[in-house]
Amino acid sequence: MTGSRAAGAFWSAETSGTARAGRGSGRPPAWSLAVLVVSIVYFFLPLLGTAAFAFSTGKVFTLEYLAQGLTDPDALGSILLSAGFAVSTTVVAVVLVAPSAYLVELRLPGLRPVLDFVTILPFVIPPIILTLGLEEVYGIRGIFNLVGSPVLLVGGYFALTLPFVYRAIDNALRAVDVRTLTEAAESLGSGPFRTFLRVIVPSISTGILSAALLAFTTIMGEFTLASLMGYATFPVMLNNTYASASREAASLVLVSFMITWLSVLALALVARRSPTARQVATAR
Amino acid sequence: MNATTRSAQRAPTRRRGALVWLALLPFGLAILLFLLLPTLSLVWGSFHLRDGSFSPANYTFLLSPDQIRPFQNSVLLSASTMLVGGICGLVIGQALLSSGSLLVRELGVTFSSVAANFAGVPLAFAFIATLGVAGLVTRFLAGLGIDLYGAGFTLYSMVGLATVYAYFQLPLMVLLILPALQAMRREWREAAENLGAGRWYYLRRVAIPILLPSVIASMLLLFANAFGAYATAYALTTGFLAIVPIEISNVISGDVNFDPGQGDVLAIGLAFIMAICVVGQVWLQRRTSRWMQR
Repeated sequence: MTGSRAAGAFWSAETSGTARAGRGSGRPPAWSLAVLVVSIVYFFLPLLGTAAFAFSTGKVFTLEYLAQGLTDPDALGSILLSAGFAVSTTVVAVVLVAPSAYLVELRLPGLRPVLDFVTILPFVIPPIILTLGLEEVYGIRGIFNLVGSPVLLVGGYFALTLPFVYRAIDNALRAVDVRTLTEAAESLGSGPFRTFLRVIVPSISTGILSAALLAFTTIMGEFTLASLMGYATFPVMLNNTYASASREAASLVLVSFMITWLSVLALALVARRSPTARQVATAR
Repeated sequence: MNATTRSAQRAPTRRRGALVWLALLPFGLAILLFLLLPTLSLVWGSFHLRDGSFSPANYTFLLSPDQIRPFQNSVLLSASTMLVGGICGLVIGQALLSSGSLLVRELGVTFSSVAANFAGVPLAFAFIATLGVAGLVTRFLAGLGIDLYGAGFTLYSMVGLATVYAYFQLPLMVLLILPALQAMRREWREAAENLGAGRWYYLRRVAIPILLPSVIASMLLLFANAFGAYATAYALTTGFLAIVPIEISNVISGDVNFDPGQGDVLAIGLAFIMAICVVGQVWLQRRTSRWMQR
């Protein structure tokens, strides 16, 4: 959840450091090799443990549990539900943040400190507190009753992903000269909507793409809000399955790990196109 | 004449200004409804009793022995995983750079991103399959004659939870500290060596003073990261460990032992600790950014 600010600095530092890295003193020191070997073992051990549990009945290798886990209608339904929330929140977040960040950058730079504060607030208000607050305002005893409405979960997810989404888009906006682009477009007779959609959006597309990927990944793995609001999303279903069908659940853990891999690789691919877009999200 | 032109020019500008605010409205409304209002509700609730009267009395609840314990546990959990993750992450980060290979470093960053994101329910279950009673490593060690659970270890305890948290804390530290490590110029070391500094002297008088603020800033984020984490702890222990996020979830699920105001006070207490970490991190990061330039 944290780290996007520092990680942003990191990625830009990395590109400048690329040239320096090759210039080591020939052979890497033995201690660093030892550390890296131990780290790799540490990294893979829990996956090995999960795989050993998911793919064997004690002695025999089997893919039966993976097949059962994957074809279980509840599992499929929960993956689809998670994906549905992830897609809708991602769309809402990008559509709300991108034009607003652009307008603030262009016309109201004075609002920037306010936005900086608001977008760092979700770090201070982790999901568990956000859920309590949302329940108080929109729950059974709340001021507005939104119990059972998916709008509440999407709204909560919007708040949760706001720091990543805003940071990724804002970094991209700062990397291009928004003012000059806008003035050029306007002097050629383009209206504000056209300028935004045809000039600004294409020039910050990598930022938007990585914002979308970060939001999507975060929500696919989100447990706290969904479980406390009673939605059987993928992580919630996984948690419920473990007690009764733990080998199937273990094989789904590996599926979830693959999803994490794919999103990290996708982010790295996007970042390769634009170093300013590189960010790290960690969803708790 | 002059004045009319000026006012004619100003009118569209003013209208445009109003349009800008109008365009910002949906974004502002979403933030107000789903971030600010819930936060304000917690603050308001923490200062009001069940009957609606204003009182700071809820806050004395934080000092009751029953509520001090979750905070102690959470601090212990966050501090231990911050130190272990922080120190190991620092060493691994330096090892990635010292390897001198761009490929190794890129792989290290990718693996770290994956591991830092691999948290919550899947991580808890992966560790049950690995270090649980019948886990892979537990059985392997038993084969060597080492009885983990006989020696008093259990995954479903504070120590167990800290072990699991380390799995995402450590790679997060690698990601956070790499830029600072990369910003260390080779020239500084050479200059120090030319002036007669040994390896230890360079570390003590140059490297550590430069790196320390970044290390502390990153560790503050690790602390906050562990302090607010809920999913992993819940999945591993089904909610019986007394840490702050679990206590708050009990309030949400309608535990009758809690007043609403008491739940709010717990949340404010948690948010307060998170705020200290985030503010400290931002402040230190700003101070160190001058080393990171160029």
